[in-house]
Amino acid sequence: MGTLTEKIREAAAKVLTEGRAEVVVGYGPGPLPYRNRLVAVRSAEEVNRLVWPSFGVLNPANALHKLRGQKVALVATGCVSRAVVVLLQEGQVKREEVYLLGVPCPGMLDPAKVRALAAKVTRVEDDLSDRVLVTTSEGKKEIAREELLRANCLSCRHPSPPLYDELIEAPARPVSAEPYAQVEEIEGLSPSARWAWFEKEIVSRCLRCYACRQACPLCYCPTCFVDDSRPQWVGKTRDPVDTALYHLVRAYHLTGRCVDCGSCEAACPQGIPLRLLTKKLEKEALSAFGFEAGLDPEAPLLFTDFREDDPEDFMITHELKAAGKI
Amino acid sequence: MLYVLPQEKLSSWLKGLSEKYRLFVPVSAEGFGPYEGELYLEARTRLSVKEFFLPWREPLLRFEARPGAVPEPVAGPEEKRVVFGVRPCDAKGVALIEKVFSEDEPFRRRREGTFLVGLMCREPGSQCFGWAMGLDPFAGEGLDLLFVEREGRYLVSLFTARARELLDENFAPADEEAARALENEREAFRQKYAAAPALEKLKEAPLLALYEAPFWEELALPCLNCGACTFLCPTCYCFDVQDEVVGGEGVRVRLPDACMFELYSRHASGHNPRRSPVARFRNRFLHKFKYFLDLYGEPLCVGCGRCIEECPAGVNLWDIIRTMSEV
Amino acid sequence: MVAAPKKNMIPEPARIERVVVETDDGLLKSFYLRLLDEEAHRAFRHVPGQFAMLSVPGKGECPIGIASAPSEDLILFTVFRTGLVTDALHRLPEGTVIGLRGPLGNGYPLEDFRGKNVVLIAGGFAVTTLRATLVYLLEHRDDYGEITMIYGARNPGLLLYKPELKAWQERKDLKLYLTVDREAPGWDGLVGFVPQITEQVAPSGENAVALVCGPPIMIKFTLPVLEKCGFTPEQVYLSLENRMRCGIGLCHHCNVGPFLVCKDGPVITLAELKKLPPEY
Repeated sequence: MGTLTEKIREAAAKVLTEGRAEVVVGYGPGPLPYRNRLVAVRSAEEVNRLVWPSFGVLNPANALHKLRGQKVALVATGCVSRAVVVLLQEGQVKREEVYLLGVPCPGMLDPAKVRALAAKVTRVEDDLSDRVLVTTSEGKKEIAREELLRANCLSCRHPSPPLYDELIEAPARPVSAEPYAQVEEIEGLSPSARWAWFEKEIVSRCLRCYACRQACPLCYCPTCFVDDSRPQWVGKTRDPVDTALYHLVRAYHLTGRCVDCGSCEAACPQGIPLRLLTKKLEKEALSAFGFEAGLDPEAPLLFTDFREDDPEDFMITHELKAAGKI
Repeated sequence: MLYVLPQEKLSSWLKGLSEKYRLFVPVSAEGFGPYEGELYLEARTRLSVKEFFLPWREPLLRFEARPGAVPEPVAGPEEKRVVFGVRPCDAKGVALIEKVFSEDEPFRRRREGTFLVGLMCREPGSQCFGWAMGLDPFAGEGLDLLFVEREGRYLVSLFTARARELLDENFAPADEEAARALENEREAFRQKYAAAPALEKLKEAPLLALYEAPFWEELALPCLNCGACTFLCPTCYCFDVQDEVVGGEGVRVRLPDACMFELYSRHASGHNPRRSPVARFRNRFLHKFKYFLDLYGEPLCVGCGRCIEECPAGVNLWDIIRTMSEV
Repeated sequence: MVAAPKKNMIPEPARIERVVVETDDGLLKSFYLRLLDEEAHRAFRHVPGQFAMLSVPGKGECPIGIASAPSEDLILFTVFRTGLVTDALHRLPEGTVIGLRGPLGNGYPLEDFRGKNVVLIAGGFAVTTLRATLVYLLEHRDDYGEITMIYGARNPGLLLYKPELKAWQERKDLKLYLTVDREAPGWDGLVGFVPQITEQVAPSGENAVALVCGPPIMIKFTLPVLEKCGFTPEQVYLSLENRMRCGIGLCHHCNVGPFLVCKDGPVITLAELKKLPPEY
């Protein structure tokens, strides 16, 4: 961790002194042993505020909207870079407004898994080797790093940033061999069991705090559909029907866009396994359209693009088929 | 008035209560639920008792969904409830909310129909700081009864006359020695854990100096402007009002809202006096640690530490209070 | 003078007795209401400056300033069509029963103004509560000194209460200056923005109060004019607006710093406003 932190600081100082960006956004230490906190560094003298965040679980691309008008450098792992790619594709940010300090990602730790180790956790030492040392109220524990990794890191297929302005040398995780294991587990349930899972794990616990939406770098609508009043699509209370609708519609709004950075799940104060909904739709996008989000800023988007050989019998294909052309 | 209940008599007492009242207890680290024999008493729960008084959906009016319909007020539930295992910080939270809602009929009805039985914490949680906010956990603010576990038994303080009906034959009056020991404990606590000097400084800080201070930008940067802290907080009480129509029937309901949301202050014209995320972040903390403090003499905070533990972005309330007090 | 109503979330049923389209663009309609309960209707006594929450079941509520004087029988609301509830209101025919919660908020401290000159300055459709005030002042004419009103709209078609304006212009005990932003066919009255006309009228701040209601831009340019005329911030009264949900000081949506517009306002002096955070 020391070396990667030093590399990040060195790169950030250079970016600032060479004027490639006005501000570097990354993570610093947080107020708790299992939290890192977003920082915006504006001068080379301040770069010591940056660290490699073992718990950088919220996507810093989400902060771009707060810094509009400034040239921002982001410490960008795979999913951070991919989120920026989608924002570029969707016209939400201009390429020249963002400088990507690419960092191949060794994976990050899950605060919930760490907190579950003991009643009180006072220190976490993660040097990116295969073991993590956790100091707790029940003594020091040495845990395999793999056991404390975030679920989305375990299923990550793009630990290295596909888009970057410079690349820092870092040990990237191996690409996951079974990215959809959790999804397939639920797919294996009967429809009624699946609905029961959805109601119990997601709907019944949701507080409608919108931490998931606020944390997501790709939820940027000035007025979210839940806040529309003319017409009103969804009720605003925690009513199970309204809550189910909120999560289903949000997941669908992210199809072909979500990069599984896991921010939604990390942000949820109730620990709801939210990313499984979008992961399922990610699997659908891949199997139905061979599409993966956030890899190529020049590529068209999934839902704004139509190909003649798309499986859906749409208006144009219908005509072409009738005319025997396809 | 102080009583003693042997620890092994707790379940039979609870069982007896559950036959006369709707009894709620902490069922897991998550929150409260109906008593079914299980109890979670290790530490305070994630969700506080706020929702017993400000529920996630409070129907106010019922009406036919057609122009000209005259709505009928909804008469709320009348039954008596007992909530056991309430931490002193959560109970004080209810007392603070009551300062604002004392004349609100739905709140009043729930408050009068609910007994709060407190349970003293064995030790402060890692992020607790209630005393710094002026909480004296032994004072029983907001509670009908307070259970303090000592040497295999509970010392039970009675704070309201109505709570007498909850006691059964297993409660014996405590002797002088026990009463004195508890009083000494309370005194020792008050000596060791005092209210934060920050509170006095905040009372004296000029309002506009706080508002215009330059530190808000940096404090607010990591904040997601979600409602997590607001909904978990035992003292946040803002609510939204919505008309919900299904088919031919409609209900006007009250539901929790958060000043962190952009829609919270948006006019129908689109104008928003607090359009920026920083402005909304600042508003929440100025309300709790300046506006409410100036109006009622105490902050709108009981130091339960939930916001610090659960904020996914690492926003730390102490950083904010300290920075504000040094303006 | 005002019987304080029980503040709760339960609207009183009120029938729309009359609807008048006030402006040429149809965006402003006046609704004359009668509470169904006769006794409640008789007892309804507000102070000019107060507002009420108008309730349309199925849509919601919105806060609207009371435009009638307390002595007038029907309760008048002039509503601008702009959002969910006002749009629904505009579609309702005469005879429809809606809900009303009020009067809410504070009003102008008219008793304190006795013996003083009163200057009313209104821009656009913010004139509503100043109509209530003017009618009251004229009913108690001897209690007050000079009454001056400066009222401007973008064009003649957007002036409210047109028949009454004519009658008021003919009164000798009131100085009414009507203005429109630009020259318009058929208009032979004053032309100019309200701040400019105020500067020309130059009402003296000596033993006077000024009640100003209008869009932010109008207020911004009118305040320096009043200062030049000798009005201190304590002599200038404004009326704030904000998003409301409960209207009775509970939900906290309408706060401007520590000030709740629904409970501590909407009327506020410029002196008090300067002490508040500028978030309005």
